[in-house]
Amino acid sequence: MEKGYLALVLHAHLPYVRHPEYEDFLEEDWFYEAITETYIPLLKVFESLVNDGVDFRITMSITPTLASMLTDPLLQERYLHHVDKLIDLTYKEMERTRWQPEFQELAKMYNHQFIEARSLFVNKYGKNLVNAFKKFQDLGKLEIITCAATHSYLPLMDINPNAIRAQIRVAAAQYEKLFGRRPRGIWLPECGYHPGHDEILKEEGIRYFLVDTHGILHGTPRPKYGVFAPIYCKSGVAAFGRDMESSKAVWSAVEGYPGDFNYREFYRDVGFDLDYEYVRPYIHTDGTRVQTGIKYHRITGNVDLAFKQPYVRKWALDKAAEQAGNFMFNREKQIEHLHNYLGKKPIIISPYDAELFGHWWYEGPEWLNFLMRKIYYDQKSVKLITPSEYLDWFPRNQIVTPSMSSWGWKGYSEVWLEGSNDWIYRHLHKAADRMVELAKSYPNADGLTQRALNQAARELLLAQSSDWAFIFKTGTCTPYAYKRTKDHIERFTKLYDSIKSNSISEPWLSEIENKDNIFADIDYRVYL
Amino acid sequence: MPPKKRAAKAKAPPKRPRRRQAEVIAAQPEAARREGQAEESKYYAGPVIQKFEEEKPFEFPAGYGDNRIVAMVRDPFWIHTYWEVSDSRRQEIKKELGEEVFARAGEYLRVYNTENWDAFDIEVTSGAKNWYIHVPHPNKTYCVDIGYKTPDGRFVTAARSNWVTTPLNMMSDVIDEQWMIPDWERMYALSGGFGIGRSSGEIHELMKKRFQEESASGWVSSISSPVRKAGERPFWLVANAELIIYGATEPTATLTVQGRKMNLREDGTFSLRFSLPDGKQVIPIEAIRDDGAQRRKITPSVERRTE
Repeated sequence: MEKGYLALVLHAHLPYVRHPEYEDFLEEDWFYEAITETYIPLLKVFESLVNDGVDFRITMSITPTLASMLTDPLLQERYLHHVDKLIDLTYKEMERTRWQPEFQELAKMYNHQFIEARSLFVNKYGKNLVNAFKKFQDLGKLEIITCAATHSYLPLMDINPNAIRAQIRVAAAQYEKLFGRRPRGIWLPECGYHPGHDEILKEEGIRYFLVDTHGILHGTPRPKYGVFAPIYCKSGVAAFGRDMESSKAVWSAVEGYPGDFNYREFYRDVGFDLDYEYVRPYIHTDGTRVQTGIKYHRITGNVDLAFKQPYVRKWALDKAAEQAGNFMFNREKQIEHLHNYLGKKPIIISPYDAELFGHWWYEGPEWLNFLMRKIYYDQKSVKLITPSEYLDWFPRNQIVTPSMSSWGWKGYSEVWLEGSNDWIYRHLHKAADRMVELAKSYPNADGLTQRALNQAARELLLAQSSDWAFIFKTGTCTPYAYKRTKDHIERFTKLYDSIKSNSISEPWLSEIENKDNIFADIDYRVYL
Repeated sequence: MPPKKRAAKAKAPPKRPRRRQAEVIAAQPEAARREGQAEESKYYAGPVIQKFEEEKPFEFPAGYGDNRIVAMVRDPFWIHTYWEVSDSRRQEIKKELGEEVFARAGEYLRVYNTENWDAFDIEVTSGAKNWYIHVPHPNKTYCVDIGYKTPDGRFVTAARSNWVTTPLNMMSDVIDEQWMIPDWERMYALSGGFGIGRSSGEIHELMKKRFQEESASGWVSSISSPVRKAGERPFWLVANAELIIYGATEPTATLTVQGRKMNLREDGTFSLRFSLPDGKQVIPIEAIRDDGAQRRKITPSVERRTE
């Protein structure tokens, strides 16, 4: 009989990046890389577990922006183009590395991986990975939860509850359309919780959300079981808190698993390493060197990039298996101890960024595979569970209001509210107010006005993605974040003006409907 | 897959500066690598510099003509406000105070604790439109006025903000008696994942440290961990060698290179590119006519020796 539960939660998210107006758009590569390196490898893990009769549970948020991209025909076609080019490059690489077997073996590995990814994408999943994930939800192994429509950081939108409601309502409606039922849980973007937002979740029938550790620990009144049992907000919506110990094992820069020297080095990529003319066809069309995903080196140690040693797949897999064993052992000990101490079965919530697995931590999906098999076969203390299953079995929980919190650096809102990005809120808040004003002024619009109002809602939602503020903060690709914030606010403002002055330009509206085509079924009345 | 339509010329992607490999590698020093970059790797396509041309210039408006101040909570000790004082409200105040007094009045924020309406003032730089305010207490509700303060201390409010509540930064004092268990501190320690047996004082310090730390070193606890300031990469050099073998034969012939069959182009030419490690490579290249009756063989050998 199990002594406690482990809920693995993967947060899969990418901002909506889709640029039909450009033939080749750098930031779309985030998405293509994630398909090859994360989403398909995860699906392969789930598939293999089901085939081998290994019972497992895992929870995944698939954000509405990511789901929209995964179901978008243009991006699906573009993914094929992307992976075809990669496959072509691997064939060349298999020749080029003929006299270096240690690299040739890796070129073959990538060749196999990319061909398999392509084949699964087209033949098995019919280009629609949302359906691929849905299958495991329907089998009862995977619980898919939603997120705010465009991954907006909600605590900083508290000034306009209608705008928060729209983020949640649009997300829940998309979820229902894609997955055939209402979402039971939600990943609040960046785990950003502000007291009271649970009321809005309740309106949409959402039963639970996740917060960072201190969101529960600093809740009021004191939580009896810390983060090892969910609590109910006064609204009756449950909150599950992140377990620090298991999070640290994966995330920590110092002791985290992904930093092992046998693992693949993220930054050594043939896109940068090889002769310019040779890689030219496989990098960005304007000639900018970019990552290709073909990486031949292991982390090696604290050495300069130039001194990285060749990657040895077997060593890396052995390490992933060992670390999966270590993780399981630690959870067993943790759960056994908590069980004795609490006198009840604890739940350990271990949330991670899904794209960590495979994209950054190349061996992450294998680690997950080993872990879920070991938990199934090798021990009895720990049982995998999803949050909603837990609530079904243990409906009686303490009532606590979590404290405002996020899982961001320092635990609150500073990442999205600091010198580099604080200027955006003036415009985001104004646009949200204007959207509510429009909805109230034109509650029964039809025809062109209705289309313009729906498009205004899309532009506002896209401007509200927390990704832009995050990128300003980290400085990784600031011009793009600026472009997106500007484009959406500009389009929104123009729509607002032209709706009010009854001067909507149909050709222009069509153009931006085509560019910013997310949430085809949106109804601007969500802002009422 | 159907060939992609070429983008119209006017919309062609803007030229991005081409960067040589050396610059590119130099842009990613080792020190920057392992410290909490997993999260950012999602947005990493390579250290590229992009510029987007503006189709039409659009400027974010400096203001919207509103008379408004908005407060947002950053964390238990900081509130951010932005504001805009409309011309008409400014004129009203000017009228109320008189032109001369108004000219000598300063722009101030008045921060209220809404529990008892205790307040403190901050003089803001003229022309400032937003401000970070350090507040004394977590778990208190504040609101902020933007206004003018005359030299004799009179304060006129231009706009009042929404109310905001700072979050608790420690365990709540509120204990639901029905749920009371003897050892809260122990529960807190366990939940903190810091191991067993630490006192809540220590845990509290650790939580505080997490909150106050300037860098997240060792605390890559979130998707939003900061980028560590990159250390300088020491002077460095990378050099590699590749070998290109090229030639031509009858288009219908069979070509082998080191015993492996190679494809010919339609015109019978071929071109092969190999990464050339140190050591000697003997490379027999053999063509066999399609009827098998004729053979030609050329065997170059090359040696690379890196010192």
